Amino acid sequence: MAAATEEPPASTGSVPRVDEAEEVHEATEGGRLERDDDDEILRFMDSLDGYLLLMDSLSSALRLGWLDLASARHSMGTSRVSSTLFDHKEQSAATKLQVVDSTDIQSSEPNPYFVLSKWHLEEKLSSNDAVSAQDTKPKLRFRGSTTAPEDGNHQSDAALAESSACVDTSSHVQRARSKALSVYGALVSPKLRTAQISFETALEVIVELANSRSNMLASFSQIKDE
Amino acid sequence: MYGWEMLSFNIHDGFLEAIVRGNRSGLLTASDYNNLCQCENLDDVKMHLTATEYGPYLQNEPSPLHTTTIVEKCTLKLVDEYKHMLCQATEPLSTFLQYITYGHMIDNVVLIVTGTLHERDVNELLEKCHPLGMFDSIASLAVAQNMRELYRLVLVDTPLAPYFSECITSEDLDDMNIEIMRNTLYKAYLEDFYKFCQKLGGATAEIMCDLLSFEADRRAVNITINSIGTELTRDDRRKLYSNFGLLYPYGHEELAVCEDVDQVRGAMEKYPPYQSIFAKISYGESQMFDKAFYEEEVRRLCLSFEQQFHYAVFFAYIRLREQEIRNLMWISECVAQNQKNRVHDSVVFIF
Repeated sequence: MAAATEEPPASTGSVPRVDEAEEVHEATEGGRLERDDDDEILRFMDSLDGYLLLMDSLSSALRLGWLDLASARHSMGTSRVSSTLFDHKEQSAATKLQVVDSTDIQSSEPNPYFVLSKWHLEEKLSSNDAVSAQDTKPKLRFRGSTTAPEDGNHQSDAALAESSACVDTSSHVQRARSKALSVYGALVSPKLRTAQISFETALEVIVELANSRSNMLASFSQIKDE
Repeated sequence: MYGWEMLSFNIHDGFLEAIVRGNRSGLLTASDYNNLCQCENLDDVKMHLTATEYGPYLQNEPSPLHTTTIVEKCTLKLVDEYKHMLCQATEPLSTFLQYITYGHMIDNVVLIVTGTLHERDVNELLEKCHPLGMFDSIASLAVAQNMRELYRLVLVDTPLAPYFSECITSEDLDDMNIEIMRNTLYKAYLEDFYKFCQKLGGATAEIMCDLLSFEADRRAVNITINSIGTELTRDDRRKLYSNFGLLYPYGHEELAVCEDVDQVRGAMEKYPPYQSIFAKISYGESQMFDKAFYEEEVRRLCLSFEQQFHYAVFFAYIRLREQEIRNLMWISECVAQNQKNRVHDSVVFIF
């Protein structure tokens, strides 16, 4: 019986090695899966922490905005700062929100993603690019060596173009903000402008919150599946 | 005494001066404000106000209360007191009392014109108008397309007609033109009121000219600060300043070219009465300008009650009530938004 149960020595030597290899492989795979789980859980906890921080930030921005609005109403008078003055004429939206769905083939984001475009900036920047592409303004002629000065010239041109683009954008944003506030009059209290900036910040935080929530829910669903 | 007012003032105006001094004792005190600042919600605010002279106006308001409701009802009390005084006043006090309301009339005109430009319903706009500034044909303002029509169709029959001579154009009404119209009308109104008070003479002229000069200076500072960073040119800004006051004319020249708040401070600190105001505010703290000016205004208005037999007490009482309503509005907002730690940012104690 004992002999019947004994296995031939050659086969005894190879099978345990295969088993060991399989066990090692399974252990490695299991460890890798556990590490993936841990990574996923950590990712979820990080996104949750970020989400809570953003909620706190939003709450502060909104509190500040509402108080500044009350302060502006106190300064300018209740009849000058009220919803009665809102413009009911048809007008295009100054700020747009683009929703990039995960089912969109061209999207590189695995989850739904939100992009905020404030104060017509996208259209402004694209029109600036078009203008700069057509720019045929002659560059300054430089007398000297051909390489470094031209490079310097190109670099200074690029820096100038960049700084002028920044100035152009910021003045465009300033004009758009003043236009939005003009429903309350052309000369408004600085407190109303501060309130506008607070609410603008709150809007940006809301979009960040939406993206953070999207990531958080995706992480959570992955953890649940595992 | 200036013009022997003691001999003849009480014949026509003694009763109303007594009335206004009695009303003045009904203004909220520091202890009232301390109680209000500790309220947890607007129902608590209403409960505390019910124990004051605002009681009959607020006690029947249903919960939940809103800040605008408190302001509206408190304003109704002021309007009732004003109408009570106006209906019993004789000349020249009745004209003086009417002058006090022309500022609200200008604000109402601008509100209707701006709201119409934004395609709002006229009835909705009329509800938001200040009751002290209402006149019969105010609803007709909605049909005007430019200032010329505004004057010709409506305002020619109102007390504001004389103030329109400087701003009648055929330009279409837009936001900047409306703002310029508002400030031009107010400038003309203040100058006219100033001349009227000078004609009255005596203690009325002395005290009212001081109060109106302060008002003109404060408006100049506000116009300057609010126009920083806007399209309003220096010349247009200069045209909106009144032609009287401590800052006229050299202070106005400096204010017209200011590009930031610190330059405004530099221009104002050259005048001793305003040095004390700006000494309370540190550099960069432009938010506190309003409170500092309100405090100085309240100080001057309270001092006007120290003399008798003049009309400035009526002006001072109306302005002090308006300040009290602003205080109540601010306290209500801070309570409603759960930001009681900011209450003392804008409350100005009167007595």
